Amino acid sequence: MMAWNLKRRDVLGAGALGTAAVGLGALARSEPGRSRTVTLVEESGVPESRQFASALIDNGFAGEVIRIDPSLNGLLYELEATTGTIIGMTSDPVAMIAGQLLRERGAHARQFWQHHFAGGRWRHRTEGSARLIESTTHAWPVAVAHQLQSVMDNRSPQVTNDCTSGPCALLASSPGMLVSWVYEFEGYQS
Amino acid sequence: MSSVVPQGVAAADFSNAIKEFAGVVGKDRVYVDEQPLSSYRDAYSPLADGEFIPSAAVAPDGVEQIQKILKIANAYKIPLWTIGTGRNFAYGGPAPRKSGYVMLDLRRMNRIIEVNEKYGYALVEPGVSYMQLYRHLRAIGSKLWIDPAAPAWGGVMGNALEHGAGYTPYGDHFIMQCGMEVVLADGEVVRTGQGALAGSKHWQVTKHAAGPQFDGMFTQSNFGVVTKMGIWLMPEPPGYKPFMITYEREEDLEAIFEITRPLKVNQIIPNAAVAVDLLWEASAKVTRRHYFDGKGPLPQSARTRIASDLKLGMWNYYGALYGPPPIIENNWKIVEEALMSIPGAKLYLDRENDPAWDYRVRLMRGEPNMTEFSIMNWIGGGGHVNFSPISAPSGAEALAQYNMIKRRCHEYGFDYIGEFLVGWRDMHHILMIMYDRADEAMRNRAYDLFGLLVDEAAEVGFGEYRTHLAFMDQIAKTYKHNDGALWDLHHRIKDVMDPNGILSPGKQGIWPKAMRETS
Repeated sequence: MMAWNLKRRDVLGAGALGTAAVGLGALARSEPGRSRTVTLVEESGVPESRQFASALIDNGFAGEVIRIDPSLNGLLYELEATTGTIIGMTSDPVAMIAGQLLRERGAHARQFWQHHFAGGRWRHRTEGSARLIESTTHAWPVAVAHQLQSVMDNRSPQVTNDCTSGPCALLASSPGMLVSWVYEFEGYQS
Repeated sequence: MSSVVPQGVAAADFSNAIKEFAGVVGKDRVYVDEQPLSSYRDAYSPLADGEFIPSAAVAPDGVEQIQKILKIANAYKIPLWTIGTGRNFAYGGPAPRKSGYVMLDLRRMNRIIEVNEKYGYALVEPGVSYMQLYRHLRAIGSKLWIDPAAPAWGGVMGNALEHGAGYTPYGDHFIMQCGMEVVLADGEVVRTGQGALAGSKHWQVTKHAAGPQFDGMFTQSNFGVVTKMGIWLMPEPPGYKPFMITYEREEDLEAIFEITRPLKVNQIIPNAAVAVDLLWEASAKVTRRHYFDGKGPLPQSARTRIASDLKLGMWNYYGALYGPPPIIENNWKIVEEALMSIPGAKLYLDRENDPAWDYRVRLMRGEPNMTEFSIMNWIGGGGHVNFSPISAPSGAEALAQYNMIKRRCHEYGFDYIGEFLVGWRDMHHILMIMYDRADEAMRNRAYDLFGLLVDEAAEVGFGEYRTHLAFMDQIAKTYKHNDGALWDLHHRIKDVMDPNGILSPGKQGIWPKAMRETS
């Protein structure tokens, strides 16, 4: 696990659990002369969101992490000036709020994958290699994180995939419907 | 560029108007492409995607620019749809009443013009959000509270103009507004109340002036563009005592409000007392999937289990007392004795690890937050529309409304998720109809249920105080006294004040003459 350099912002009231810089800043990506600032939104009360975030942090993919507590106020505080690429796996309401705030500031929606729990299984609607999530040995949010990273790096047209897990239980603090999403500001598009 | 143009406007005229708007506000403040226009959609709409999409948006930063925009809109008969912060979700969000309208987006006008600590008010522009005002007050060391609506990103002005409510003693937002500046459709600027007196320093301390009072006609209407508004702010009290009481039985609702009425009318409980149903309260903590994965309303056995697991009642009552501690303690004896007289009542003065308690306690002390959005996780899928009938604070009326609405919800396969708030002499009932937007059949059922409830409620004397864009016309038609005389009056005023019908046509079922025949 990478060491954290936590910079809790001096915000009024509660809301953002914190903003963490992982110490990498803008990360050099595969394209020559281009760099991508990646900000990750983690909904800290949601176990799948934490797993997703950890996977991207472990891969060195995220330059900054915005952690949101149940007040959700951090979305208002922290997304005011964010630029570059913003990624999250969050509950549906958080995805809606983040999307609204980011679109108003000119961001483009790049990915919008859905994961919902029904009939004792997780059902995923994603893009990329078929059956990756179904056959992964990782927890599914980790597999989604890897998949999302791969799709963003490849930048090639992707097919939509539906995928279903084996029988499983829904974690107590899981919202049971999640969205993996990516927004980008102009100048960061491929 | 958007392929949509306003109904009845020639493409060349529309194009010329857009160019002229850009001449007023700059090219970068006129939006015609899909990406920026996508931010004006109603993310929770009960209608299919593609309904209520604007053709363009223009974002002025002041009154002079608004006047110029109105002049252009009048010349080309361009319908404008005004938004402040555009957060009216569950009632349409920022979306226009009809596709093709041009958004008059006032979010850039977000200045807090004045905070008066001595008299307890602020003067704000349309784009000021609750969170922004809250942060500003804390930053300047003010001891004034705001009264936020449940979502912190809502607009101070917009919520008051929509007759919105909050949870402190200053919870009736329109009553707490004081003094408006309005740009009329012909560009004339009017200030209401003492604001009409040149040099007056009392615009925000009294609503009264010589002559008629016009402020109300600029709420839930399309008679002008409100550009400044005063709002009274509550001084921080020396004491604050929030409480929650759970009640075991659905039928306790009647007794709850019979007991509440004298406590409210006599101001023993000064804030908006709220009775929240089991599932609204539970949905801040768990989802429906955790208890039931089938179709239709949640079985009673699951409801009982939720109540037990989460230590909730079928009704969960929130209120708070404010003021000097001796007064709070004195009044608390009266409140406790009255509200705890219902068998099975359980009192909570604190609850650990309970986000619902946490956000209610924050709201009742004027701290904005966004937690209430979490309750949408109950179903997931980003759809909800609020049905909001009003009545007297009467136990019998509350129970009658509840039984009627719950029965219809269950018939249509929905859970009843609602709350009752008591104001000065009124009771707001908010039913949140939740649906997965991706499930077309469910979304259509939600739409049909809403329409049915509007008519059934009106038949027994319950009118809505606020509604989603899609139901404005239907609700307007329920106000039938003397053959619809009130809406006839609205239309007569509209035709005089906005003869070209450029301001928010169809808002609250008020249409300009040219569109009345086609609407």
